[in-house]
Amino acid sequence: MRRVNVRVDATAGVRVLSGVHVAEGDPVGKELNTRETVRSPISGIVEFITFDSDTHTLIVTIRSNCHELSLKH
Amino acid sequence: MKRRIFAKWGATFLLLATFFTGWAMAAAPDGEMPKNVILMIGDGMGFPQLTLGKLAKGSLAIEECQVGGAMTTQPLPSSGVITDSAAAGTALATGYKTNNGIISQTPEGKTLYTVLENARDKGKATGLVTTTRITHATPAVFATHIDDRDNENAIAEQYVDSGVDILLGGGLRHFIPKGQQGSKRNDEKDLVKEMEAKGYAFVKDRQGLLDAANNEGKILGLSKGSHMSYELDRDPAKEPSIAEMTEAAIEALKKDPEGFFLMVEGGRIDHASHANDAPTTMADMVAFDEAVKAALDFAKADGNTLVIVTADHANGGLSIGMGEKQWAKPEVLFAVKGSAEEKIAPMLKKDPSPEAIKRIAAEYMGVTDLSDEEVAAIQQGLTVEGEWTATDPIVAVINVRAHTGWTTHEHDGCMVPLFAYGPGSALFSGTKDNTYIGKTIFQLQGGVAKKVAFAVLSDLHMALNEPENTWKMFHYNQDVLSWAIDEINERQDIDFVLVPGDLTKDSEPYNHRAVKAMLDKLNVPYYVIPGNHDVKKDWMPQGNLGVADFARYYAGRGYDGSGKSWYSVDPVPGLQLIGLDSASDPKFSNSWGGKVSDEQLKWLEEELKANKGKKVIVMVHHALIKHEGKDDPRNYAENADAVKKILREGGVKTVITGHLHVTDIAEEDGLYDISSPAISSYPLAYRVMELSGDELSVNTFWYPDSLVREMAKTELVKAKETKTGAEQVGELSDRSFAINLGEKELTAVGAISK
Repeated sequence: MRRVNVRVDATAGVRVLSGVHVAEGDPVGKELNTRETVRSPISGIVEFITFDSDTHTLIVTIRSNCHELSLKH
Repeated sequence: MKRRIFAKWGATFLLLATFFTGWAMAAAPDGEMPKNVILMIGDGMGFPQLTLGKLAKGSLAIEECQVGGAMTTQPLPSSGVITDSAAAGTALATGYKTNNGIISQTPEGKTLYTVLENARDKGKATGLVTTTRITHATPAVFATHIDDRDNENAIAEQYVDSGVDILLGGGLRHFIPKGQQGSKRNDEKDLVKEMEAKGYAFVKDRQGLLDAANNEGKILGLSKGSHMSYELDRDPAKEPSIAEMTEAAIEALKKDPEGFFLMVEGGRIDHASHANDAPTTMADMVAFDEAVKAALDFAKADGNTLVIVTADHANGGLSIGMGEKQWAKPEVLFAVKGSAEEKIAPMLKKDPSPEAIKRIAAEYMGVTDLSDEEVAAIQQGLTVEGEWTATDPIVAVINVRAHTGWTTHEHDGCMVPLFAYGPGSALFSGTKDNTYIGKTIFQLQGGVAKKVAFAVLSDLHMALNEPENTWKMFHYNQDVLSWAIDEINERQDIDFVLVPGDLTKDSEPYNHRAVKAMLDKLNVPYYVIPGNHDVKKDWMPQGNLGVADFARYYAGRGYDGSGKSWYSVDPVPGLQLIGLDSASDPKFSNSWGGKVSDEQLKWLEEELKANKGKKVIVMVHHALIKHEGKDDPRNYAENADAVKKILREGGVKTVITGHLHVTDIAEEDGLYDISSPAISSYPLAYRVMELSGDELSVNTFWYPDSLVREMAKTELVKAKETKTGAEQVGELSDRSFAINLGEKELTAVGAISK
């Protein structure tokens, strides 16, 4: 199982909720300073969304679903 | 009684005292103007957060406010519909919206004057209190100006010279030099020392603050490197509560005989809501309410203090209670002894064993029935790489038991509470937009202390590819306009620009596009109205712009985009600009003449009533008062007398006009028609007007290329070989003059030929 953490601005624009599936390249949220869209680097399930008050950002934890895909094959 | 004053080219007029009658700001409806203003902002405090507080306390201090309502919070549309604290705070502090991430500036970079700065400039004491870093967005918007809220080192530097008397919160890390433990600076600046040198007492803990508040002088209190602790985690022996900071700030500020402005932010309500942490949200909400109580206690005893309680935005989409009979369970929330983010998660991270998780849940969360699934979920969160821990599974344990739910980890777009107590509080009843708060505080402070400056660019007559010059210098007007725009941009003191019509030769779309592209290079907002050359006349090609096209094309430049060709806006706090359309009346569809429509007159009457007591400038293309040597009736609005009657009854003293291409001021029974020189014809000039208190100065600036200016003069004389023409080019205008500034009626000293 592979996990990645994606950091996005906490104000607004997070496109995902905990428990949803995302595909690689799907928008996750907005980058803190540039306001550019942050995209999921992997396909998987959004496992956690955690607030970091120090930076006013949300850390989106995405767990890869490669394992499940391989089982289907 | 009619008088007129010709301007000496390049000279300065000063029109004083009664020039803008009624420019003292409107009083509160009950006639009360508070000496002190305390603005209390619960960051992220939507109505649900307020409800959590009530759930905890039964009755909130906030409920003692005499006036209640709601407030909308959207930022500028370019930032979407959900605001951050920077844009929302800017609206509260300045009365103007900006984009997310920007601290009290327009998106173009223009500094927005704040209510705290206004209080300071009026000689009042000022203070900022927060439970976040003092460099965080909400406190920052009141005393600093920057395009990036995250540049907190720069914000800290701006505080040094801000003149704010009391600064209390966290954020020490942005004030101490690189290399010092905990510093986030990348230079050797020691801002604490710099501020001590400016007379600030620096305190780092609760006792230090309590001691300093009893002494005279300024205080810099920074209790933590980053944010102050969540209320649940706070050590009361070391860190002051937000209520204690509020009391200390009031104690220090109330010594100023002129009064004070104080902003208090409950900043961590927002953070706990981002984390969906209900008990921590509740505790910080209650702590904020205790601070409100401290402010209200003072206001009640003082009798001359306005307390406003509101939020910058809502957060989390919090819901309280589940189902028909499952009201929230505050006892579940009360049992929690620490925040998920800063206390419980770090403890769990040290020992993620099931036994430790159950023990900590029982001891710090009051939960003794943790299921195996919940333990497993928490363990999963603890395995995430990094120094932090996923808090979702931890807060879920509480939310499910307390019947509290969240739809997002972000800010939400719901309206927020708005309460007020004390003199002027009646102005805050009902539903308001966040900009209303800043504007109304300015109003209750008795107007803006800052000097306001605006430029006037008139009769531009953009004419691309025009084969010949006439007395309008079509071949040079782009150069002249560029020069004027460059000069205005180089100045740092211009707040906005007025363009009182005739932007184009004959309303050609390509000329509108060209002139708008040039005006868009201005670093400050500009406002336009149509001249007779800006709207299609009967003989013009079909594709030329009609008046509704004009109003839509210049949307945001006074116009709302609906196509309505007149407007009322406030380009700076306390100053109302009314733009009228005298160019499109059907009666003059074949003529250069003009008229202000009856519909506008009715609207104008009502608009002036609504702005009674405010300073009002009216901009209209056609002149309203006779200017010497300008006898053609097409120079004047046909119904000028009706317009003037409404303006006088509405307390207006100043009308900015174009059309005539003359640098002149005419007065009639206390109303002044300030006719603008043209960019496109001799003397190729623009004006800058400065308003300081009730004093208005008018300065005219000539295009510096004397060769082109002489050509323009020659063309004008050639075109208008009449006495009027001669007067226009300056023979009369070069006379010396002076104006008695202290009397109601202007008195021109020096000969004025008739």
